[in-house]
Amino acid sequence: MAEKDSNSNCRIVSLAWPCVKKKVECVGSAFLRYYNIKCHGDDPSFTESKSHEKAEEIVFDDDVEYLRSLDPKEWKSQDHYAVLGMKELRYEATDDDIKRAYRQKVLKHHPDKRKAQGEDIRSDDDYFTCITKAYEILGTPVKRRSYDSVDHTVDDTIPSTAEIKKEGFFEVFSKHFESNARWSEKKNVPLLGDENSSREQVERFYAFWYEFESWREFSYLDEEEKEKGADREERRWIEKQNKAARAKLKKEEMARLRSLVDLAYTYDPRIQRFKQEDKDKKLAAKKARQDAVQAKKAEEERIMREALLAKQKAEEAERARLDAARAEREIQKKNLRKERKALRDLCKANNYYAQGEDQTVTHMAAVEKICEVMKLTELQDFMKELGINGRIAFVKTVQETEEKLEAERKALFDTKKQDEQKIKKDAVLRTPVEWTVEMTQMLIKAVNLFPAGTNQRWEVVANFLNQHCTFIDDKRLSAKEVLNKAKDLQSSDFSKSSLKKAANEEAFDQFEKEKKKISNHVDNTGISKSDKLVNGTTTAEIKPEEKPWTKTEQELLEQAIKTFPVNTPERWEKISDCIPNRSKKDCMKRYKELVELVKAKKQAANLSK
Amino acid sequence: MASAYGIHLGNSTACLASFTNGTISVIANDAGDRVTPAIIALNGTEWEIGLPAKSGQASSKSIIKHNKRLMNCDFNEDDLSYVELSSSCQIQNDEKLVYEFQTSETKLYSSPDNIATKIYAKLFTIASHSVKNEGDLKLVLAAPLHWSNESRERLVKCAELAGFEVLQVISEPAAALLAYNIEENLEDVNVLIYRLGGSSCDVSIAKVSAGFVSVEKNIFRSDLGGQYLTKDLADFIAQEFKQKWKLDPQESKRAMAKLLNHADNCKNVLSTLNSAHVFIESLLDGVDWSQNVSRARFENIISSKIASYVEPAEKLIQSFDGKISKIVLCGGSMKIPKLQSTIANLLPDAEVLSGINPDEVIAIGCAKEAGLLLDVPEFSMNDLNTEVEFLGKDVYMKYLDQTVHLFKEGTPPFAQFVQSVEAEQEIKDIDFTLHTSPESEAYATESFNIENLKKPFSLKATLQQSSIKLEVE
Repeated sequence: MAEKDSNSNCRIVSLAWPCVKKKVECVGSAFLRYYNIKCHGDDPSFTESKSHEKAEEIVFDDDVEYLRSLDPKEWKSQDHYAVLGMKELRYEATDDDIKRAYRQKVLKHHPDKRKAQGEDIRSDDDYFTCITKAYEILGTPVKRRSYDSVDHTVDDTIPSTAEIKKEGFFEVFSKHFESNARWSEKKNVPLLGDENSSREQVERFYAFWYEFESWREFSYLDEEEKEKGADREERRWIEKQNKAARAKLKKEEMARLRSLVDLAYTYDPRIQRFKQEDKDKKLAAKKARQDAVQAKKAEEERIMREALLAKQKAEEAERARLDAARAEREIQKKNLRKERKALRDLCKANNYYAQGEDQTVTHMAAVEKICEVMKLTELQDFMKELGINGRIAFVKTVQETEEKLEAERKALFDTKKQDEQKIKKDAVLRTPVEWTVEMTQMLIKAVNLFPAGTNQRWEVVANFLNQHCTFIDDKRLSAKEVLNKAKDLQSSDFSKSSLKKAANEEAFDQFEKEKKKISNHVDNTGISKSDKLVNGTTTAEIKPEEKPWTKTEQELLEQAIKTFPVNTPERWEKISDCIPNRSKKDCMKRYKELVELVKAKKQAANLSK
Repeated sequence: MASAYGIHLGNSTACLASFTNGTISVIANDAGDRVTPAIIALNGTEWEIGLPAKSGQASSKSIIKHNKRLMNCDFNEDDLSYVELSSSCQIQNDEKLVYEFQTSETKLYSSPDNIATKIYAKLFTIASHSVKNEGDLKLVLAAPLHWSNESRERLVKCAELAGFEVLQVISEPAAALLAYNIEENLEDVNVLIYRLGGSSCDVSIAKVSAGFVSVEKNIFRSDLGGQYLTKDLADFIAQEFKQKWKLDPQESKRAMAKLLNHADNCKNVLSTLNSAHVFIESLLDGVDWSQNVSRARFENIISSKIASYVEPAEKLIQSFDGKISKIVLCGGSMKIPKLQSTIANLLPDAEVLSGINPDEVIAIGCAKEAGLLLDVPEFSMNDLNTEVEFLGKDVYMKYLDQTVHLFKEGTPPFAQFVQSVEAEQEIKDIDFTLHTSPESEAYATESFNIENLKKPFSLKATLQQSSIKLEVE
């Protein structure tokens, strides 16, 4: 029934009966308190209302000595609370308290009253003025606030390190935070708590104090009063001065608070603990991760070892099995040999069941065949049969064996044939696909159609090609082939291709030669040809014999023929070298044509003569 | 010090209250009135809100009254026709509800949300004039109990569009209770909350226990309201006028509107004074009208209606078994002394709370809630009410030779009980036993080692959800 929390002074008793649920309007301080605790998990202890404890009557002390010692002119330095007899209560006094205290004082210390009691009253600087002044300050909320802000009893110090070490963190700081909490604009200031405060509480505490909004202001410390200024200018100047002074003080105050909270944060054992916990957690997580990795590694090793072992075992078993099989085979072979020998002996003994001399030879051969073909058990059966039926059985078996052998031979032949065919087919398939121009164009199209980044691009391209190109046989392109071709094409890209290079060089040579000859003739074909080369698509298709000989080429050829006489070794090679774009064959052909032409001309001339 | 605001926007009037430095006050509008009529009129191209709209051109084609009825997401046909009748503009209800205004050139359209935003904006300017410092104006709104979540969301959206930062929406009866600090009562009380506004009536009975308010019963009537009384008074004046001048003001729409306006003023005056003077310039055909109406006369006029106004309250009281010890009156029409006394007579033993102007009660309640919320960080509550688990049975505690009533039935969670325990110096362990009644068996025993504690020590018991935490220190 009870959860035992062994050592501490706190026990939780759970209740045996269910709670009564009731719909409640979300209003009122009681509900808000409930909400606050429920949602923020506040310790209910510090939100408890103090109204019940305050029920008892407050007694205002009356320190006549102090009152008499006051100088009304120095009202600014007097302790207003002490004047009204609320030295202890101070900022906790309610407006009502102050009013009552003031009334009491008035009843006791009013000059008229004292005069009636026979006291001597100085009319000009009576201490009663101090009482009215004190009430004037404390009775007006704004002025009271400004006085409270600079209340001299407030401990504005920041604890030193030594103090913290000596008295302990919580003792020192809870005192300081409590005294500073009164400046808060917001109520329900979270307090420091203790060693066992939950993490959420601690975090909320520091969040609150780092964003602390203080209502403290320092107008009470103003050097000069604005009202004292003679004219507007002066008053304005005074106000400016005061404002600057207040701002400075406020800034200092904020800095002080900040450093207090900072100090608390650095020394807070809970924060240190949380940090340590975080670190531990991180370390633990890291370690766990490492452990996991190690465990995995170990597991892998184990599996590998096991696999190795299993493999060895399997190998051994295999070897044993092989040995056994060999032994078995050996025995069988032995038996077979024995059987065969027995058969041969039997046949010999029976003179091979032959009826004639030539039959004996054939039968002998048949026996040998039977010996080869028949297995052990069959042989045994055959022997038995021979023993019973003699010749008939022998002849029958011989025939069967012949047939069997024939069938085997046929089957063997068939498979061989099939194999051959298959090999042929494979070879056909394996030969690389001839890339026709149409296919190449299709490839370029496909590559453009399926840009880089397409999923399984080359498979897709290959499929595309297979679908759209016509193939002679049932060869199909694979992705790899397509890729290779594409790479090929890319590397033979006309901008880098050797073809272009060649064309460029040729163009240059031509240019040089033309220059030498100072020929004005424009080589149209040359240009168009080089154009064609630059375009780089149809080069392969240009057949040299189709090209007519240009005038320059003609001249070059004539020149070359003259320079290289008939007896020059490798004459035609040299000649063709002189003429760009023309092969040796071309040159020879042209030469023959020319010779023919010359001959024809001569004949025509002779005829005309 | 930070300040916060509460607004009650009703069918006919709106009221703004502020919470500053612990005091709650109603903020008067620019005309000096503490409540602003929730009436809006389009005059040419300019929107008039509040008093100018109310007292402006009676024949104007574009006056909207009772906009709040259409702010409810599940309004019915009656509401629609009612608003259309009282406002002087067309309402279209195709897929979305829009008001249609006929201006000189074109037709203008506006939605109820838009109108509500304008009223809030008006209140926002009033509120922002009352404070010097800028920043968000924090606001708590009141919504009728029967409104759905969706309708409240609309209300919040309108207020936020107008510039407010809405902290919470609370129910009207709960706000009325807050205004009179009834929830601070230490003992349990049942309260009758009677709200009679311009055109609707709400009667609720709420139970207040340990600071928690729960509304037990509620009746809502939309056919009762102060304006029916105004109508009676106007009819009476019209009769008098007719008798004397043989002219019937009821034939002229303009004359009737004028009459109603004056009758309304007369009614308001009669709530405080014994007689009121009605003077209407050029009521009909250039004839002026002057008349004195005494309170007795007014009460006589409305006497036939009073029974029907009391009826919902009577019905509710009869259906409720339990002693009702307080009555809270709110809504503008509850200013009428006759109505106040009639309601009070229903429950002779109950205390009638009427210290605050009835038409300001709800706004003040909202302002108080807003003030309380200032101290609660990160409050977010979308519902009007929520479920809280209360203690199901009494809990008694015995220790040494004493018995204390630790928590009584219905104690809210997180309640605390602190007791100083006098113990002999030599006692080392002390047993605390928990009982459901002083005679019954203990069902739990806890013993504490108090050797190291200062004597006398204090025992603190905290009620938690379905458990009790005991602490000694």
